[in-house]
Amino acid sequence: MRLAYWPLLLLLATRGSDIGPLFREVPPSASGITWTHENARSNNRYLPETSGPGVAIFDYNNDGWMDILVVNSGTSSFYTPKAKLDHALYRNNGDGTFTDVTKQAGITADLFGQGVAIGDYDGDGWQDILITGYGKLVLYHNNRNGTFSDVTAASGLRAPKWGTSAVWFDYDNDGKLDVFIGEFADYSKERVCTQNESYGGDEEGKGSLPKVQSYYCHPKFLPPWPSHLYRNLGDGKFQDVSQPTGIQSRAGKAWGVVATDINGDGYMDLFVANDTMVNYLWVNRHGEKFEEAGLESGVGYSADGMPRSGMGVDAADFDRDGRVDLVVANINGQTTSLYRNIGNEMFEDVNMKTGLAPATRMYSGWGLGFFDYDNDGWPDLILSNGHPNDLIDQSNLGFAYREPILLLHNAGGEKFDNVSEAAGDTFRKDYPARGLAIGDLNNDGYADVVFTENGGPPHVLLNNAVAKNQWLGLQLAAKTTNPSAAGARIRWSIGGKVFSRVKNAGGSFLSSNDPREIIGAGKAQIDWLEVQWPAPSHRVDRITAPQMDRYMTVTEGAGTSPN
Amino acid sequence: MLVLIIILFAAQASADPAALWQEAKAFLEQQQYAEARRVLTLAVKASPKDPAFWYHLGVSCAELKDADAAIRAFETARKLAPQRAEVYFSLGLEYWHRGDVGKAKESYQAGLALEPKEPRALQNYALLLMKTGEYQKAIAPLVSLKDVPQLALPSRVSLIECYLKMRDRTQAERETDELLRSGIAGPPDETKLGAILIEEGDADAAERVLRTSLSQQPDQAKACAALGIIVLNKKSYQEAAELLGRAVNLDPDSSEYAMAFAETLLLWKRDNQLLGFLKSVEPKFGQLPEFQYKMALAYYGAAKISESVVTLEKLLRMNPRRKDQIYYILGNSYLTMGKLVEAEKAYRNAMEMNPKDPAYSEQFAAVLRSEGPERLEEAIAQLKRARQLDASNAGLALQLALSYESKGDLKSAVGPAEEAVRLRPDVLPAHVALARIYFRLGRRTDGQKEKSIIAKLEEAQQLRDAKRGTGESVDAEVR
Repeated sequence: MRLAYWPLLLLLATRGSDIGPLFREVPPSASGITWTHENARSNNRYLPETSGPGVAIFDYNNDGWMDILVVNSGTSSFYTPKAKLDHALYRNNGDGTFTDVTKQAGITADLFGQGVAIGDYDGDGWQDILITGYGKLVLYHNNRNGTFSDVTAASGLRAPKWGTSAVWFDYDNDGKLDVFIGEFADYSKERVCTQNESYGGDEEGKGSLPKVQSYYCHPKFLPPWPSHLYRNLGDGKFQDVSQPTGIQSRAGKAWGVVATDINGDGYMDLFVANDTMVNYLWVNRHGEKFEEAGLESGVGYSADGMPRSGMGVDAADFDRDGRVDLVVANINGQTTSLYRNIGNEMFEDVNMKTGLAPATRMYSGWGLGFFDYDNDGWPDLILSNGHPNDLIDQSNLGFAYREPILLLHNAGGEKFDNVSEAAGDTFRKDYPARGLAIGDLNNDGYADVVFTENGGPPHVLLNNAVAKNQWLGLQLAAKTTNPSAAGARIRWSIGGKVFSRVKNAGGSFLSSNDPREIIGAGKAQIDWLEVQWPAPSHRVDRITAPQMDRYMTVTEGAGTSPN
Repeated sequence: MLVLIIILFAAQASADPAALWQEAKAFLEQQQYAEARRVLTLAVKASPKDPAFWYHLGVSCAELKDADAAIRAFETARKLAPQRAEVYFSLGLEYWHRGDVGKAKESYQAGLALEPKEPRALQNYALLLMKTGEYQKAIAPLVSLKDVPQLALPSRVSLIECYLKMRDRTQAERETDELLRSGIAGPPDETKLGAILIEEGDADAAERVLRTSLSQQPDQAKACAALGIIVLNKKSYQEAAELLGRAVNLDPDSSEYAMAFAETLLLWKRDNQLLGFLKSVEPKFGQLPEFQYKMALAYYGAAKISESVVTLEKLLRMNPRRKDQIYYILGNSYLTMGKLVEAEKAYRNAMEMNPKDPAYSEQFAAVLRSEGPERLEEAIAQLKRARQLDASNAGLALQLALSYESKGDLKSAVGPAEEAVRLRPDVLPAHVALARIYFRLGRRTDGQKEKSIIAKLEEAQQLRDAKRGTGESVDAEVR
């Protein structure tokens, strides 16, 4: 009889209805994070002004604490800042405070920054930084002493037209991290748009505002552009393989990208959210070619066959059926897509059935991520929202520039319940939110969140860990496989039932997550855990009865060590 | 004219009847028609062959609205004095009043044969011809009246109407322009002409006339409203809102203007503005079903879906017309809220009330599809029923294909998907569904063929968008 009450008690605890908010925001005065994004908004309203910035959670100095990097605008063909703008690298002091180490770290590149992707491209055990931007990108090599060097020129990475999200992953399973760099569109004409050409506008006589007013262009007016794939040659150099791999064959309007293995063939595929057009699912054929299968697989369009305005993306097995599912945040009215993997490289959009559609219908989602905030074993969802058109409120369309962020609780893989009300004060306010990264900033095993505002400060949300569920944190230390262990399959057993997950790379929007994995176990213990390392290793490391509620490092071929 | 007739006929009266005539004449002059009728009744008894007595008896009866008695008297006068045009004209008018248009026309025709230039008779005859659809015949008498003082304006307006009815737009526009140039029409007349032009479907001419009218007298509610509706139909929402808003300000009690203004804001997607307006006029018009309907749509558009649902439920209790449409919107609202069960119920109600509207079955099936695999059979059954009523509906065909696809019955999905593409080859979703189905069936060649069609459709759309954005003409591409 007592057992019958467990689910109810768990649900109440999860939702924090009587225990306090699920998250608390750390104010700048407490965190020391005082940096603010400069969106460079001009009278002409150049579109890149409204899309950034990205944020990364990663450990740049290998001290075991996750640091934060946020990207800023900078000099571009359409913008010259009055004074040099800075990105911000905040070192986590491990006591809830952060120290701005941007300048001493040498993160000083001047570009109209958009996204950030973290990866140890040279496999030296230290995380490197790629910052994408409008007309430029910068690759920083980690010097292992708290500083970085700009190695862009020698790397072979070329300036994008409009670089957006990027992801480090090993597409050819040679053990080195390659990089995909999304291109949003050909904005070389630097279009200035009227209200009719803006979001929510049309050609049917709208225009109550003065005609001299400029608006952010609706992306449908911009020509698509192909993204890039660079192969890591292993000597700090990269080769553009967009053409031979097929990536260049389809022009798109890429915002978010996630690398995952949708068909379990051991090769990492790419899912790219495109704005106003079909999403691309680049299925990796043996590390040689990518086959674009957005349409075939069912993730290109809505279930009804309509293209949407895709922004952020992520991948996870939300229903725990052993297959990787995909999520795409879209602009308001279109609802967030939740593509359930039904096998054979096919998906079905279950956003209505799971309640995701009504929860997201009124919002324009950007950064998002699957994460098990209550460690009950089911991947939940968080979304940062905000309309791209800063003048949308004046159009009386019922949409707002500033929108709330959303926290959705995964109820058994069948429903996503909107628990934002119980999530804390931050979830009751509105923001022009954009980038979002997930990571455990205080190493308590409960994932925290940082999201950015366009033209505003980053927000640090600490998970209050109210669920008191058990967890196991994993740091995967590769030896022969790619340094991120992207593509590793983690399997574990709880009470004899086996679960699994693929270690993805990328995801969200312009942002980069904590590379560690947290496995939520509810009130249970994990019986055993395996890491199946990706090619070229293919080794399996198995840990029996791991100690819960702690991080452990699983070293390829060498088992575990406690952190 | 009455005085003239009195004098003419008085000369023919007999001596004894002369006294009666003097008495009747006095009553007629004093407009005491009942007394005149009494005296003239005595007069026709005294002198039954005198057409003047019968004629004036007819006039008295006509003034007393006794058309039957008037006709009897005029018919007797006509037999006694068949060469008097006036008798025919009066008789014609009474037949018209009694609704006997055929006899009225015959009488006017006979009278005009005797006196072909009588302006009022010409006008009435023309109007009778118009009434019986003989617009071509009406043109000649109307043309002859174009320059007759006092009759010029109504005749020209009628003439324009005749040309419009005959679909002779060129002549109609020429006459309209001539009328506007002549300066004989005041703003209210122009407004009336505008209304006729609207009724006859000549919106362009109506717009010109109404703009002229409003340029002279901007404070005409009717003209503002009429012009507002014309520009609304042209999707010039901003100007329509300005004009209809002015009409509402000039005549705030007119529900017609208020609802037209609301419709404009609705089409303009100014939902918050619309909500504000509707709330401001709710005390006046809140009881109108149309008001509640628009309120619900405004809430829906402003993303206040729960308020939209409450309003729609309230509207349904008012027993409005087209309840099926209201249930349909209610279904859409519930669907937006993710309340699939409620949405399904609402669509079901809409379908039961109007099984012929394919949109209801389409949405109903879409909801069932969203609810899960166990509802797909029902969706398919409903779509099949709906397709029996409307086999050429691409939306139903597409939904059927999607339902089969969701069920995993891809072989059954192919037919309706192909049908949807055949019915609407320019619509992307049908191609997407068909391509997806082909691929899932392993028909890669067919899938690739569809994929390339999709690519072309999307490319064409991108081209149109790019050109639209730069202000270049897109007509060529669209064609």
